[in-house]
Amino acid sequence: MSVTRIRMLTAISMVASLIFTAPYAMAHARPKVMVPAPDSTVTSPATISVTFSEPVEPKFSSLTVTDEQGKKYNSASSVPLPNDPKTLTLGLPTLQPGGYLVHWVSVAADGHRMEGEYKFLVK
Amino acid sequence: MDNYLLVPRSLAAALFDAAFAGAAGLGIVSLWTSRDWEKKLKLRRKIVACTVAMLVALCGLSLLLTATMTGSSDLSVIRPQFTEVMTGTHAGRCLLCNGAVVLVLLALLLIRGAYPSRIGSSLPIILLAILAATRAASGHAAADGDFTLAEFVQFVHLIATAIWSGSVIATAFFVLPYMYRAGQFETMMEFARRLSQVVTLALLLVVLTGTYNSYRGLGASLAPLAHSQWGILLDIKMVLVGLAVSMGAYNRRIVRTSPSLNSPQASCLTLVLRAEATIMLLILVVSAWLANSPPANAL
Repeated sequence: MSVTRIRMLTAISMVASLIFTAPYAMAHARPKVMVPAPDSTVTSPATISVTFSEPVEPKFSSLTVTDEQGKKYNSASSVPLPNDPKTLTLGLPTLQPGGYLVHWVSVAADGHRMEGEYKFLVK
Repeated sequence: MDNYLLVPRSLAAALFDAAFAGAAGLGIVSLWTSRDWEKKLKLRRKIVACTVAMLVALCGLSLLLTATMTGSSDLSVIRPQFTEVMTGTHAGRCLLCNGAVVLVLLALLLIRGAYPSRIGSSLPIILLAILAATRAASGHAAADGDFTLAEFVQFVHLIATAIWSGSVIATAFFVLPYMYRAGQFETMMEFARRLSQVVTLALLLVVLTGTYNSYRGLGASLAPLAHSQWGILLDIKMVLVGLAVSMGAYNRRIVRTSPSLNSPQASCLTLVLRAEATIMLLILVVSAWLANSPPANAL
């Protein structure tokens, strides 16, 4: 391949990088909106919800709430919001004042799994 | 994150991609060879071997997908969830579709007893295109759903990569060394010219679609190229692609400037193409690793 052609290919690739400015997601679903928010102080929430950066596989994605000693507080499983495959919600009993951890697991469309946790306080 | 499964998933994906590229490359090569050379080179047998390798890789990928989704490497956990993963999830259904297509391709190769290019129909090409489409639909490009621009670009990227790497690997390892040993320098020259034309076109598509994919993965910033695992892997891939392109350019110069090949030139051509093909295999491994790692914009 001649030097001119290589230069042409480089120029085309640079132009292409400027053209392709579509919004993007990548198949590793991470939390974007969490209710209650991380490190917030709230009254006992009836439900919690996490909206991920992209749709998740509901059967293999989950939310769990524990206290700081690891005691699990949700008896039901998390479910996706109708018509919103990015959001999982979880019903909760009345929580006593204290700190709680939300443990989330997300499995994206390509099967890649992520997990993590965040804390909130009940006053 | 499923870090402990990253290496086996990447290796299984690399095996599938290399076998897919090999089948596509051998199919292209068989279009350029005479019946006599086809038999000497045992091309059909090699395409069958690539198809079997795809099937083995898919079996591994299915188990690893179940392990990833369940978050467990314990077989007693994986086994009861396997059917649910394969039939009830997007990635599982894509793998099932891949498996069905590979089985049809294998049956076609074994039953009809002919080379894909000589079967007299375009069915094998359609099957390889379906495989590329379902692979595109089961990777990072599927994040925004199916039938999107991202998936289409990834589909073109997979096809172009398979043509580029597959034809170079097939020619370097299975064709030119035999022709060189047989002293068929004229046939080698003709072959190398055809390869050069096909590779140039495929490379153009690889660069365009690869740029788009990189832009998405980097989150419209160059900073992750130095500060994220995905970015550093992309750096390695770009260096390898640069090396492969340089070697291809060197061989192209020989083919374009010389009216015919002499023995030292033919030896050099074969050697450089083998080095290029080895780098192609490394590119496929790095690409599979990238496809299984969280992109910079996902962190």
